[in-house]
Amino acid sequence: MDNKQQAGENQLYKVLSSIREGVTFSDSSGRFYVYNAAMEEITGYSMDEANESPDFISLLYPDPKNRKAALKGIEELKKKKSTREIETVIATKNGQLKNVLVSSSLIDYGGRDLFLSVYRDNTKYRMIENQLMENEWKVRAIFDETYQFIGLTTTDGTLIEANRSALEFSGVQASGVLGKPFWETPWWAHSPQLQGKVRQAVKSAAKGEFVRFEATHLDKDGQLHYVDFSLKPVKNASGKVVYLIPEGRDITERKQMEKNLQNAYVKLKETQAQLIQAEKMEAMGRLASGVAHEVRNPLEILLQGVNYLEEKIPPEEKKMFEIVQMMKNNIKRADKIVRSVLEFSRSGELSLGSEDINSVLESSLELVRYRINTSHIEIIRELSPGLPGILIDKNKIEQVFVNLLLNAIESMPEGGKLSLRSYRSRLKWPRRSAGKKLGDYLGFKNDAVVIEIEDTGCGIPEANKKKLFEPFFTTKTPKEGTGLGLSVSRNIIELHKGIIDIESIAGRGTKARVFLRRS
Amino acid sequence: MAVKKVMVIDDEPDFLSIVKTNLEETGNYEVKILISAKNLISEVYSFEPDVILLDMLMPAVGGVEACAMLNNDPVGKNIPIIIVSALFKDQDKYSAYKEGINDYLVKPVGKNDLIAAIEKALGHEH
Repeated sequence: MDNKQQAGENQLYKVLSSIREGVTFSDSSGRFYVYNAAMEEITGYSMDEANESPDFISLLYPDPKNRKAALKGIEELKKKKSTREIETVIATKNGQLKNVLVSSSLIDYGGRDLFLSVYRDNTKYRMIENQLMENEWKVRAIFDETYQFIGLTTTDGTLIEANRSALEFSGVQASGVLGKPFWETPWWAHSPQLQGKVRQAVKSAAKGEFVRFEATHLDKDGQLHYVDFSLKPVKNASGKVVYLIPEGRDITERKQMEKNLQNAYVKLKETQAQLIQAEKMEAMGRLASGVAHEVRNPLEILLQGVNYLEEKIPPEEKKMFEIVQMMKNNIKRADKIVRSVLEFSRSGELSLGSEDINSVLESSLELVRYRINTSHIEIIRELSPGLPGILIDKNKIEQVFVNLLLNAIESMPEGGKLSLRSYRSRLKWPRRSAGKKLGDYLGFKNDAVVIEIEDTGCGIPEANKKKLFEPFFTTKTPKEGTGLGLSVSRNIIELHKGIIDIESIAGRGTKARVFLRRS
Repeated sequence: MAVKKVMVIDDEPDFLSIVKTNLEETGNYEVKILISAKNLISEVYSFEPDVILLDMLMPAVGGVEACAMLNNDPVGKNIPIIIVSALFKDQDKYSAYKEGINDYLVKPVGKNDLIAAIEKALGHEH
């Protein structure tokens, strides 16, 4: 090697040691002739260590797959003598794995075939790339998996992204909507009005405004959903609007709940008004009954007095007789007025319809079914078929039956038998007057229907029997009962001109009977 | 026709007075009036009525309770009872009938209807 050549090689080494890529010259046996500083830095091995190692290629490529690829590359280079570039993974001296891009070519160096290889450490780049990919994946996942409908449009409203929730909601493919003006996508197809609104919103948002309004979308089954829609401008560093983000939240459920709440509120108001009205009527009824009682007592005395006087009038005193007759007529008139006030005070409280009493009983039973099932109670039905329809307020009579059923159930905490009976009138009292039945006295005749609810529960102690129908009388705790059940029930049955009767033997059970008039 | 004994129990003194007058004026009845049913049984034993007229709503002992007292007495249980009350509801009538009364009259009744009911209870119905 002459001086000139020597100087050239020195110059080359200088250049090689200053570049950041690892550079090697090696022959086909794997011996290195050039092995720059960057290569030492990348691999951790010096040229001597590389050359002295019996199988350096296995050290550098511990993964057989990568090793095979490297060896194959060398063979191909020998054949084709062209440049080859592969990305692979090498192991450094301290065991660290590195991503490297290796460019190799076969060059003629003074008549010898030498391999020139350039190693670029891609580890950091790969790591950043992986991180970027993962970040993008995360963002994409959030974008796609959120329940909200999200998209991205250009400032002129061309849709360039739409998340999976939005696509699946309408059953469309990304390819079918991307590239279209946002207002011409299927989400708005059902409403030209909304399309116009969205078009306008795009213009506003492109100017930097945030737009939000309530809209509707049709889902893939054609169901209308309510959506809280917004369009947000996205600005770049210099404050220019570059994208728009359309966003939609499905608020159908909330809407439905709001609607239900609204309905419930209206119903509550109605019920409250009804209750107030019912209470007023009830108070008025009580007042009227009280007045009737208080007025009828003096009327009786007046009538008896007039009866006395009329017999004392001498036959010639015609005027006196007329006056007494007038008094009698006006006592009757006063009684009539009392009666009509009573009737007025109780009118309009019932909404009557012709009902099959058996089915009213069955529907009441359904309402307490849960309590029966959890209490080991056996139900025995003895319901007469083909009973005549009776004119009742179904809801109110149901309330009575539910009250009686609950009382029966609660009297049998250890279980028992609950007998339900229905039949035509069998009103047999009184004992003292011969030949007549109670029904005749009460005007029931044979046109009453009787419902019996009998339990095998604890029964009612003698001392409590008199108080059964008193308001607020209860043997339950305040949590369990108000003491109004039977009082209200009796009131309801009275409104129906019916009778409620409760017979009980303490320790044996209770039988409740409701007599209702057919007409 | 022998004079029949009528016992009238009501908390209205005026009512008692006029009914006693009206009934006794007929000459067919001897009337004993009571302003309360408290001592009903002993009064029944001393007066021995053929029929009892009974008010429903009275302080202390009410009509239904008075019926029960009579029913529990070997003498009382055979005496016909007529309720004469301003209480008019079926439920009220029912609770009285359950105690085994003979009739239930709603005030105002008047002399003639009252006498008709008494006669009916005495078995003098025509």
